[in-house]
Amino acid sequence: MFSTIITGTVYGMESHLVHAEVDLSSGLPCFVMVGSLGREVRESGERVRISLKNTGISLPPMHISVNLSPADLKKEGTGFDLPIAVGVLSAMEKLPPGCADGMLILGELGLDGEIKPVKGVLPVALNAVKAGIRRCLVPEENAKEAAVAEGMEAVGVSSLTQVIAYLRLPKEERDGYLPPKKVNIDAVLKEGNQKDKIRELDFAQIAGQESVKRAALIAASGFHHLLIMGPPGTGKTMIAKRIPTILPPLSREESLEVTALYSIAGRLGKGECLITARPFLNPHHTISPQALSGGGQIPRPGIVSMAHRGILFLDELPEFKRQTLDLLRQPLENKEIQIARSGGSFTFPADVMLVGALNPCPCGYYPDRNKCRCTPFEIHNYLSHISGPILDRMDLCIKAQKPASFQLKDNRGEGSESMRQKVALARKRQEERYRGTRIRFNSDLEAGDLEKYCSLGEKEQQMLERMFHKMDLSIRACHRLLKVARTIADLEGGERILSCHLAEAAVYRAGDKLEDR
Amino acid sequence: MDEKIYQFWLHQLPGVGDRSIERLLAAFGSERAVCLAGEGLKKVLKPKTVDGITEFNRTFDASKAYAQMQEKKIRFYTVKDKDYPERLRRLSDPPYGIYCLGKLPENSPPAAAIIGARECSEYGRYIAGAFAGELAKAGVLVISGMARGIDSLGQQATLKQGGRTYAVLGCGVDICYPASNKALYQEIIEKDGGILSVFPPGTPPAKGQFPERNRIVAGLSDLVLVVEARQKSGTLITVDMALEQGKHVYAVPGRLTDRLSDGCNLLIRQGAGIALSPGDLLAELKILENRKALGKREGFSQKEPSSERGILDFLDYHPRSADEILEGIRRAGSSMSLPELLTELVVLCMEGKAMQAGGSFFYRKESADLFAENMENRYNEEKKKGEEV
Repeated sequence: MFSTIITGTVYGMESHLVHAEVDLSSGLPCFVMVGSLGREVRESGERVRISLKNTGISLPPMHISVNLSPADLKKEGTGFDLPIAVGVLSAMEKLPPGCADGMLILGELGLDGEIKPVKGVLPVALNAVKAGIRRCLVPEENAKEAAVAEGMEAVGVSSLTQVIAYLRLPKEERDGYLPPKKVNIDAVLKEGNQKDKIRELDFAQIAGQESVKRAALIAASGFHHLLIMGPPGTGKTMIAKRIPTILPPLSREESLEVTALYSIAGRLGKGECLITARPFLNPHHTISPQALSGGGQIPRPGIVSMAHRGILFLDELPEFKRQTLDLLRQPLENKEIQIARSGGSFTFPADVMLVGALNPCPCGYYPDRNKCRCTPFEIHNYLSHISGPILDRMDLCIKAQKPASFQLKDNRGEGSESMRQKVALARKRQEERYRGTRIRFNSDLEAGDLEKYCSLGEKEQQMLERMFHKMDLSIRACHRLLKVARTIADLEGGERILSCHLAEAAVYRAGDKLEDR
Repeated sequence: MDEKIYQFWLHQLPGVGDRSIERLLAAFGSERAVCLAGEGLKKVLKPKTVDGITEFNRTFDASKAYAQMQEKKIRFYTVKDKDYPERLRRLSDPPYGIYCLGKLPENSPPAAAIIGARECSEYGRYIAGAFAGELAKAGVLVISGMARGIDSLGQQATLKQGGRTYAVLGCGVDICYPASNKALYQEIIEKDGGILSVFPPGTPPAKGQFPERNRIVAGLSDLVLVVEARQKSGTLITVDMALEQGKHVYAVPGRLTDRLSDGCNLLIRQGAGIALSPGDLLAELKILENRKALGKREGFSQKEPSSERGILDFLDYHPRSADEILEGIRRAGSSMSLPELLTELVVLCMEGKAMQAGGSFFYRKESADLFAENMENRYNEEKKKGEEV
């Protein structure tokens, strides 16, 4: 009259295995659930009772107790419906004893016994594999996602009747009834990249703006933060939206990380098992601080985490509330965001490439004094919405300008295809150089790494020295300049950083001096 | 009581302007008599004004206020004083009193006003500095209003060249307006210049006071140079006043497409002098009998290495984007790539021949001296050619 089913839940960013224990004993008939349950978990009893009834099984008039163990772990989500139902059934001895042993079960029930998709399947499945569990029963829609966890045989089910039938079969006959889903990760990644290539956005659609495109190319190669400044209508947003088309594809590990995040947030598309394209998030400037950083009593990942390993594009940067923008300081520095709530402290990954676009002044046309009559005070006020520490982290800063002439067809610049190849080359060089270290891109270099990876020849050292004095650089600006120069050298295919790389990098510094003319 | 304190008192009276003071002095003979007249003032002034004066006298302690003012090192001069600036005295209606922090402009050296738009362009910044610097070197006093933009840039350049400059404010001299020019305000005082105003200390800036300020700026100068001005601009008020006072007006020409040069170009059409080089102004001020003298300096060569010359030619005194510069270079038949160009530009910046204006915008930069000499040489050559013909 007692049974245990293995299931799982996600708490913040961590997944935990949970045991659903069900006991039937004599006493006043009732259905009691315990174990730090969230609202939707408490409601689960009702769904289980009715869906069982509608499947043709009525609950016995007994005292039914359900405990979700570990009992002190706060449980959220709707994935407990199916394990509880299976637990009740085996406690009622409607299922053969031990039929669900060593099996992970997740799923939400509808009142008619239908099984609906749930969030966070991939992280739980990954965790289960670590714990030695090799098979799972998950909603049909989540089956492929669970199958991504290597070593997990994921069986997709769509109704309670099907689950009962499956579990009644002896173990060797089960695969014949419902074969586990197979996913070849590398093939999916490859296919995804192929699909990405046929996107409609292309850098070739942008005429002129060569210097902005060049800056975008460098930023994409080294995963540097980029700031684009310019009057309205010069293509700042257009360029930012095309940066994903030239980014190097997600690696296998990166893809799993991103997919787990999206799974937790419930943002995986229907039937999607793996995120193959780097995320591009473009929140509106009215976004609340919590939406950006992640929040809630039990925090969920925010926009900055959803953009993990991808691009966070903030258009009209000064329009964002300063408080909201300042939240980005930690993630930009540490590549993760920590959220402390009364329920505990949560850490979400947030390794993003920040692309910001802004107008140079409230009217947008400065320094064109024919149009702009903003006073220095107004300009200062406008730009001071962006705090210094944020600007300080922008590796590249570039100004877009209205092209001298309007050409609809001619003079198409470089297209995404050729830019992508250049980025891939630069990426390969970085991969080789940083093999076996925590560094992925040049932008990850810390002050201590510079000496090792960005060493300069004598001539270049002198050049940097001169720049330091003539251009009034700070030490931090010098470091940034070196990192960007490293990326430019990688783009040009050279192992050594040359003077010309330093010089070009110097053009893009200026993030710390927005107001300078 | 000292006569000066009566004068000070008279200048503080509410509702009594220069014209009323003139009438009062004509009726009563002296400031002291005016002060003792009491209700007798009603002969000259409106009863309401006299009531206001009575009310004012109840709380105002002239000797104390005067002492306080002197403590702040502010001096007060009236037309009756020997030290009162001659240029103002010559005006058809000289201001009765003027307050000064620092020194008053001397009468003998020539004085020029450099005025223009507050929100000026890079070109304006550059030109204001170049002209003011040259004038300062020639010993010309530079008068201006210490407003943002051209005014203060001209004054800064003057100080940099060791010249003397005087700022006429539209508020009390103890108030630094605009506050962002605090450093300039201090420097003007420290470097033998002066802050002047016809408004009593403590008067806050107000819109209605600026035309009077502008009149004094024009009044203190022998010549007015307009560097940049929009078609409808406060600068042009100063010009009108200068013309009324019979001063020379010069304008720096600009491109027809620049709205900030409209005011200047229109002035030129109306017959203002064309300021092509500081020498033009110096000649007008009769400092230079022979304009060529300025161009003949030793150790100066206009030649530059040819390769740099190439890129410099595509730079302008206005910031231009690297894309634009590149387009120009490519049109001239070179196949330079963007990274190459950026490298060259940064090198030029480090050599001080160009400046980066944020992002990939660059403009040409010569030191103000070099620029002025270049200009002078260019026009002298033209002139020589003209003479030969």
